[in-house]
Amino acid sequence: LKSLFLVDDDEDDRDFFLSVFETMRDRVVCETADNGLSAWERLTQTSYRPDLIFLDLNMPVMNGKQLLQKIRGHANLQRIPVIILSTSSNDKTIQDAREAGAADFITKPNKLSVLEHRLKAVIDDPSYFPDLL
Amino acid sequence: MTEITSDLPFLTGGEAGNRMRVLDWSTTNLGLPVAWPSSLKSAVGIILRADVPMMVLWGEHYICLCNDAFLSNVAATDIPLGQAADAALLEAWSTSRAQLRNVLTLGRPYTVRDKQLTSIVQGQTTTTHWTFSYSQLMTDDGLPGGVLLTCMQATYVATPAPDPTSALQPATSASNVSLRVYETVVSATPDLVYVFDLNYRFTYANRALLTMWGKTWGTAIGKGLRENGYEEWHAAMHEREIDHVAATGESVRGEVSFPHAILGRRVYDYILVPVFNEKGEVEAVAGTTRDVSEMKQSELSLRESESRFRTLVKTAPVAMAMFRGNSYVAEIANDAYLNLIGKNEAEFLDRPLFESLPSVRPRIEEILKNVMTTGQLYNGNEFKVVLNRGGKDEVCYVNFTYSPLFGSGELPEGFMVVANEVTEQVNARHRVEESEARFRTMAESSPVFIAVGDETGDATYFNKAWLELTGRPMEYLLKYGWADLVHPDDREPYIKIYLDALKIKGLFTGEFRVRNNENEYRWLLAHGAPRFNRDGSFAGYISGCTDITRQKEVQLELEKKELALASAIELAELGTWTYDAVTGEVTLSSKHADMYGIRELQNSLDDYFSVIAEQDCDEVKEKFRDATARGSDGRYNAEYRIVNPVTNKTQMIHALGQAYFDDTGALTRVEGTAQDVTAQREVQLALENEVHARTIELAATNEELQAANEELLSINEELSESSRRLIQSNEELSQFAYVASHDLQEPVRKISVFVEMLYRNLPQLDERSKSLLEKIDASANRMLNLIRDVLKHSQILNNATKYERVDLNKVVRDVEKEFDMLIEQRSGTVVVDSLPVIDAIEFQMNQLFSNLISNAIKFSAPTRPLQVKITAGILNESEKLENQELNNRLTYYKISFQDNGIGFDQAHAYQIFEIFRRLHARSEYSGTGIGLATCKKIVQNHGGEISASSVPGEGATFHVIIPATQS
Repeated sequence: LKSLFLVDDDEDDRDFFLSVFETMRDRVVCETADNGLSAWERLTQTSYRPDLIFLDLNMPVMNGKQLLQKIRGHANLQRIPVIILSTSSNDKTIQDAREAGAADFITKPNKLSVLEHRLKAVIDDPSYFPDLL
Repeated sequence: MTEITSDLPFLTGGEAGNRMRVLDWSTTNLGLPVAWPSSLKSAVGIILRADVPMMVLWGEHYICLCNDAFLSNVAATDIPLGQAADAALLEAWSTSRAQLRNVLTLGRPYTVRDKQLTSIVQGQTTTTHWTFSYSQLMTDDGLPGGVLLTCMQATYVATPAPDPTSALQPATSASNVSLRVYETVVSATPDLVYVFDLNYRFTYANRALLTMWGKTWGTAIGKGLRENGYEEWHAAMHEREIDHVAATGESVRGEVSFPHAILGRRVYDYILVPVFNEKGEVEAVAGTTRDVSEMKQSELSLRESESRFRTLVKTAPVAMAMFRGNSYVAEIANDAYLNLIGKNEAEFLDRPLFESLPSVRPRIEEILKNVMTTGQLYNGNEFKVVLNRGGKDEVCYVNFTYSPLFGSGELPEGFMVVANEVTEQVNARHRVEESEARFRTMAESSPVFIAVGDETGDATYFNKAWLELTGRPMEYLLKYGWADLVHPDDREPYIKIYLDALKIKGLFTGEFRVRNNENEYRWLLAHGAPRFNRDGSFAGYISGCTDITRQKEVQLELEKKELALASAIELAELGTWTYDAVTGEVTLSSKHADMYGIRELQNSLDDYFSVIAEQDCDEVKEKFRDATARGSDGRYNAEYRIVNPVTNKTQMIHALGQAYFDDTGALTRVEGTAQDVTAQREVQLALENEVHARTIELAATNEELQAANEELLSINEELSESSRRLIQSNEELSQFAYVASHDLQEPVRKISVFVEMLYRNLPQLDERSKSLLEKIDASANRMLNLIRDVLKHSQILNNATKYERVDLNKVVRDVEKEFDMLIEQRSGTVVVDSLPVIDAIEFQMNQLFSNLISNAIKFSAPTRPLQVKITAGILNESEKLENQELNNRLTYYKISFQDNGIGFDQAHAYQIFEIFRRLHARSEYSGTGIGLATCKKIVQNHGGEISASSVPGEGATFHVIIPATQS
């Protein structure tokens, strides 16, 4: 199973993602965190090592950008691919995310079917899961 | 017979000569005339030419040879020419064999006087009286050869009535006749004939002797030997011999050598014989002398010939050798020859040629065979042979001649070779040729214009650089030269330089302009050097020219500048001065000296400063010290008063200068100018006063202005405050739009998703509920799109414009990815040209492409598959002119988005870019009406233009014109 870690403060959005992941539960398992700090603690204080992290940018306590920088600076975590989530599909935001070390960028959708399509593509992308090959 | 005698010129004359010529001499004792002794030949030649009767009785048999006069006047019977005279004949001539023997062997002349001969002339019997003289003829060797009979008529003897005076007459006449006859004989001979009396005086000398002496009969006859130029020893010798002949009656024979008046020193063979009177006493001595110089010389020559030949060969400076026989055995070879072949005599002489020199065989065997079989001479020129010299093979070049040597046979017995080694010359020539070739190669690749001329001054070569410069072929330049290409102003002077140099074969150098193939004049600097042959003779010039156009231009520019400077100095009434740090002297221009009222142009620094007014002097000196101090920037600028010593007036001087230092930083010189600014300062002073007055007036006015100004300032401040507020307000508005739309879209987005989830979650849905849910979803989506577009639109100007190189190909790829699902749904295809890389804001380009493609998708015709074609090209000049908004200096790309959708009415082509403008009902086509307005804003933001054209129902094309670069 592919281990996914979803970090988003918005409960609705977490539900949307989880409902999509539910449809492919035979392939993925997903854990969540509601802000950057709790995610950081989960990653550094436990042996939890997800294959892929979905990270929202706008979060209280510790935002996505700060967490991404911490992950990239951490020897044991820096190889985990991070996909940034945001409502804004502003090109500049996408650009910033890539520069900060994000593997990809997903605009938060207004269509569940679009999200399904997008996430399926990510899960099927073998470059995110080299260990499982 | 005729053939034999035709070559015998001495057998001349009429009847007698003719008979002698046709006689078969081979049957006679004398044999063929060609083989006769030369004394006999000359005796016969003499008698046949004589008109007095004469006869030669040759040899001990007295073989008869006579002339025509003898046959017609004396001979009673036929004379047996070529036959021995018999007794009867001798009787007829009143002589005997004994008497003849005396004449022949003893050389004693014998005379028969008053011999009567009877002949019948014209029917009358005539008796004639003759004197017959017999004298000795000698052989070539001076031995008794024969007897000469000369007959002299003495008819007058019969004349009666002798008279004492007339009695002498006949005798005298007879004597005269005898002398004439004798003279005829002896004058014709080159031999010297003479008679001495017993007192050693000459009583006779023939013409040859007189000629030899260079005297006449009158001055020579009756004189002794010494008086006729004989040297003492010679005279004494002959006098002794005359005494001997007189005493013994024997002849004396000898050989003597003495100088001839014309021919120089000669060798003579002579014989002196006694002349007997009737009593048998010696009364005179007759002599005959023959010049044997030539004969002696040829004998000597013959003897010396062989040794001389060998000596000649041995000592000849050219190589000579002689070979004989079929195997060419070396007989003679001189040192030069042995040297040439590198052998010594022992190795070479008496051996066959090809044994000693096998290496030459292939080259010369055929040639020698030819010489030996045809007898023809062979000349070889620069003949290449390999000679083994000093133990190693050397390639040599030889000029030589093989001449055949003939012996008795018809074919040559051997040959002689004369050879001259020319290896050095040939090698030297080869070297010259090589050096010539090297020169050509060098010259051809040289950027210098090289030309070569011959001794007459005509050009023989121009290198490639010349041909390229002039653009004319070699043939043309060689024929016509390049004088016509030289600038008319430079032609004469340059030709003169060249001709002057040519006269003395010296170096020359000159500058001139020459027109190149582009019809421009180039300055060339020419250096010409004379060339000389090996023998030191003049061979012509070689010249090299370099293009100095650039230097020339710089030089001209410099001259112009200097001229300008000089006239500027002149115009500014500037005096110039130079301080030389070594001599400590200041040199002034005459204008400067005049200005200062100083007479001398050279002054010490102290003298120069002494003119300065006392109150300024220290300051000036200090400034000068500062400027010339080590490490200073060298600038000197001083204004001071001087007291002119001539006018005693005070002048204001402004001096400027620049100090120069050497590498060590030590001062070398200062150069500067000085200007009399008295007048200016006075004007300035006046002006300053004026200004002062005006300033006070102005101050008052100023205050008024100040008040007005402050008022204006406050208005201005208000204005800028308003402007600031406006900007702020705009920013706030923009910020609001951004924040509002950003935050607004979240709930709307979620509504949309929840509707979808709800829809999925409700297992059974009646049509009404389904329709309501769809309407909620549609409203939510529309609101979300609206919010997003407002958000994007608000961001266009909000972002600080930062242009970077954007590859539009990448942009279109990213956008295509974004829409691939929608395109697929409409079975659409997007064909993209190669697009340019431009200066742009990348995310705006993304948005532009995204909006236009989304537009095409949105308005695709439902009846046919979507086709979008994106093309790009550089906007041409005329297209550029069509659009006045564009900057003419920039390069623009025109990017066209062509679709096959529903299109629009061309009348709306401008409206579609207005915000919230919709051409279609919302229910028909979704959209916010912001997309194209955003496109327009983006394109304008980049300094470009956007337009659209369409045929309704067939499709639309959007043209984006955007600059390639942002300044």
